[in-house]
Amino acid sequence: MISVRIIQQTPDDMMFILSGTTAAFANTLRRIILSNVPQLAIEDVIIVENNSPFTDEFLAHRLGLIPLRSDSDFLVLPDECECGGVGCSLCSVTLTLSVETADEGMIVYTRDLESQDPMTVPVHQEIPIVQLGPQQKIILEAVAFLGIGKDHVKFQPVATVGYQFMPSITLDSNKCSDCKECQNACPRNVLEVENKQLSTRNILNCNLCQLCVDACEDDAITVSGSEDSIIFRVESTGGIDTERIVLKAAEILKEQALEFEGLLKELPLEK
Amino acid sequence: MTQYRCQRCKETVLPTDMKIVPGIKCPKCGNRILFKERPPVVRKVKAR
Repeated sequence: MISVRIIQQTPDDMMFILSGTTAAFANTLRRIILSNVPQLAIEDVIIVENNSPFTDEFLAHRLGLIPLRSDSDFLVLPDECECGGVGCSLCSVTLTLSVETADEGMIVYTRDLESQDPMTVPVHQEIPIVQLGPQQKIILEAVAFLGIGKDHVKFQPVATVGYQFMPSITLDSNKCSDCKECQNACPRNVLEVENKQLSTRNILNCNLCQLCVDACEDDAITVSGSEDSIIFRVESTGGIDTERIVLKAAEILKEQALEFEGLLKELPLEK
Repeated sequence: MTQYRCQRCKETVLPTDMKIVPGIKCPKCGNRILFKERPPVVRKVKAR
């Protein structure tokens, strides 16, 4: 039975402990988060005017990488849309950028993008897009679609996602000479040794680097990762809340498993 | 049609105007540096 214990949770950051499962499951979840959870990003840019120092392609590329905040429950993937992926109100959101400089140049920021949908806005308002000189002008329309990380990295909902085994540190008090070398060697200040007794400050900070084991001349300390308990960390780009990312990944995993089961049943297997 | 602009006199130069003088030159001032103007068409670019 898999159990999940949430250690830390904010819309941008989440850490939980997965127990009663294997690294294979945690890795499946990680890979689905990276490549299958849909996220909104600018895909098509219609450029009406651009005499900035940036070429159209460069500008479009920069726009594509801007993380967009969106309640993607209302949007569908272009492939699944009735319009066939051309771009309608069900599968796309349009943002416009119209800036012109007079005698002085300016920096164009993400806050200058005007969204057709007030819910779909750039996560950060202060990302510079381009610096304009005097008498320069940009008029463009950017169309954002939902997509998956497998197709392009801009559709990836997370900045980082990873897991590690739960550290298990033991100290043999019969061998320990109370030299405290292990305590000093730990780069994350996890260990505390008092009278040959070990206590840990925050075991979740241990990254199993084994520096304490190397530092101990008495071979009294052992550090290992417990394989049935996994620390899972998710850091969102800000487009979707971390909780939704994990739940969506679990949903996708279930759908894929059911699809796989259905395909297996169709196979003419020998009895 | 493609349009050019002279670097020195800022005059708009059409390809037909350039046939008046031999070589690539501004027919008004004779300057040999011309900039190609952005054509007035809407471009659709993939953000990739």
